[in-house]
Amino acid sequence: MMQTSVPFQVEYDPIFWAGKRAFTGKILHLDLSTGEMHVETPPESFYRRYIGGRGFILHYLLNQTAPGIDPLSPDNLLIFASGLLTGTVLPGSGRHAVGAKSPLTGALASGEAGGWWGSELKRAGFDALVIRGKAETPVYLWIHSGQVEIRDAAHLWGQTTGDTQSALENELGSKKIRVAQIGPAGEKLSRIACVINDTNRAAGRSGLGAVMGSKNLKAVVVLGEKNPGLADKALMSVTTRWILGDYKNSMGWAISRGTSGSVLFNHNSGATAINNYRDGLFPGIEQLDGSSFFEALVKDRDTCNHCPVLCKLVVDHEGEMPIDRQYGGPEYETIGAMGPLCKVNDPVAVAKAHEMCSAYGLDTISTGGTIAFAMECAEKGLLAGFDFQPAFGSGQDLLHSIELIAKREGLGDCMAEGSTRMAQQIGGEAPDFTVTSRGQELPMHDPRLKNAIGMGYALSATGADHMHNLNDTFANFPGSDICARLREMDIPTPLPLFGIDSVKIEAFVYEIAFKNFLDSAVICHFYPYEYKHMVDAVNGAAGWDVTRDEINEIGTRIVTLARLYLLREGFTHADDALPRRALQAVSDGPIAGKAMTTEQLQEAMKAYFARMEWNSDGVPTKMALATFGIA
Amino acid sequence: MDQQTATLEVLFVQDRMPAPTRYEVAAGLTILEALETLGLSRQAALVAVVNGVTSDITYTLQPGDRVQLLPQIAGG
Repeated sequence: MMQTSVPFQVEYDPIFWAGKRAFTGKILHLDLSTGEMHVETPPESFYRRYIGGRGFILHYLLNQTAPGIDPLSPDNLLIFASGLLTGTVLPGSGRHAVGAKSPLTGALASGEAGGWWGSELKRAGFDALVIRGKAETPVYLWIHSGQVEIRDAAHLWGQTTGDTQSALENELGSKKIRVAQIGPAGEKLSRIACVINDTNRAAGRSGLGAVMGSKNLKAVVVLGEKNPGLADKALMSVTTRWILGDYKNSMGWAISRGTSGSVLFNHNSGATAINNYRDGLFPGIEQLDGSSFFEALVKDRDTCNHCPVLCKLVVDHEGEMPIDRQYGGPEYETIGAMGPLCKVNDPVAVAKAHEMCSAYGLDTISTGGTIAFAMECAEKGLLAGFDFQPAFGSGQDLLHSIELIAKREGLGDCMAEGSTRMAQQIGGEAPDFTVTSRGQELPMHDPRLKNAIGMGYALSATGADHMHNLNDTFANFPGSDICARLREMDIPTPLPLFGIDSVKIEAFVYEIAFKNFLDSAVICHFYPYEYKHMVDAVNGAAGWDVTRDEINEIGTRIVTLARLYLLREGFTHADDALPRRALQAVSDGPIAGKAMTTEQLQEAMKAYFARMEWNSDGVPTKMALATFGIA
Repeated sequence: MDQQTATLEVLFVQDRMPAPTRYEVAAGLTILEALETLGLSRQAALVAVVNGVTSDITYTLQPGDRVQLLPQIAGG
């Protein structure tokens, strides 16, 4: 058994220790098969080129994994990466990224999470962890102030995230530790398992939890003592002063009820998918909106490091269906996936579903999407041979499905693979009504309303993903943060709501690059930062002289690297697609009769490729690669 | 209702449900022009639903139209 080896000791970088910059200058590489560790001290140019987060993840996947590896083999990397701005005084910087080759899609897995874990990783002396191999038996990592230990985790295996958090706090004698971990779903290699940190935040998508489980790695515990510093405090304060003076107005929605306050609005504008994408209206939706369930369920608010907004809900509920407050509360995506998608309008059942997914370590979007798919399979009589026949509208069936997925029992063993693989197992007409792109369940922004988001789902290297995307409804309103950024780049606003014209392609190119920059820096998308704010923040953090154009260049380089990774892993333009359901109009509600055609989607993607200087199959040309210094 | 006007119902996310602020505006304006007149075009994102149908912000208002302007929230 591998455990408590002699601690690997690393000295803090002297410039970081002196508080002169925001990055630690050290990246820890660790092989769980051998226990070997070494520290990389990349040159400053590396940080300026990749920034952190997704930029780091793509660098290591492209350079330190072979094409075609099994994502659940020891050959895969599991990368935890802070960003340049993580842990600084900048509001919205309490975030980090987790990445790997995805066991759900076979493409890129790259998720970001809020909380405190990423900031604490830096305080402990490291910008990122690059983990390879597989431990013989369950282990956890204990990283504290430059010391790294691999410890036995046999006693934690099988425990929920909440119980593991408590056990580690007792074992390590501190309530200040920060824990990133998997629950039972990741241990059982569910391809829709996530990595949870702080018990209530998730690097949710693409099966990162299964990669961690495949390495027999239960948790990564961090505790440090040195806050990231700044190269130029006055420059950083230009951005921090602006946002602290503005956020109560511009982020009033987040202060009010977080994303849970958008459920009814999104339903009423047609953004939310219902009944596995077959209906346009969902009776009882108002019961799932934050404005209705707040008083009964939400007992507190939570936030991330250096964030004054407190957008996170803390649900605390007693009664027949008790809900543990340590798991926080459901966001819009979770409410959409567990609620209208499965036709469940009981807020307690939906909040309980969120709690169970956090405790077991399951991605709520893919879990809700897979359950809705299973419900339709049952409705169509395709689940012969299974005792359990989950029904639309049943909160009990929703919760039982989650239990079965986490334990891989009965039907849950199929569902734990995600809806695409489950459909292949079931066969018949089942693959026709999966709602996935690149094998990943769609988020709760319906492409029949949001056409550019649909194109983003089809093209994303991380499978259907609403985060690094262009949100059409925001682009249609001149007061939005997206329109402010587009105007900075001389793009006229507002953009058309429906369709994808040449101006929207231009906007898509810039906005995808900016979001990829944010996911590398790693900054919260809820903050209405514009390029000029990021320029001051980055230069204040690192002492550089980046410009708006360089921010865009960094983001576009990362978009290009993600495309190269997709192509390297065997994907072709034929895989850039939306599922049939996302192209079929519903007959009622606010978007009745509306949907892109396959031809319109194809035409838009070709225009995007041309704008990116990629060929008509979406392969970056040598000229495009040269622009971003990619060999 | 004056047949030459349309009704805008603006919902603010901070409001308890559903308590729209109502404005009567001249038909013939686009929704965006009407919002600019009201000083509401630079607040956080709204999406327009005209007579129950989600519509572009540049839609030209017809007499008797009822337009809901719903806050938009990203991510989560």
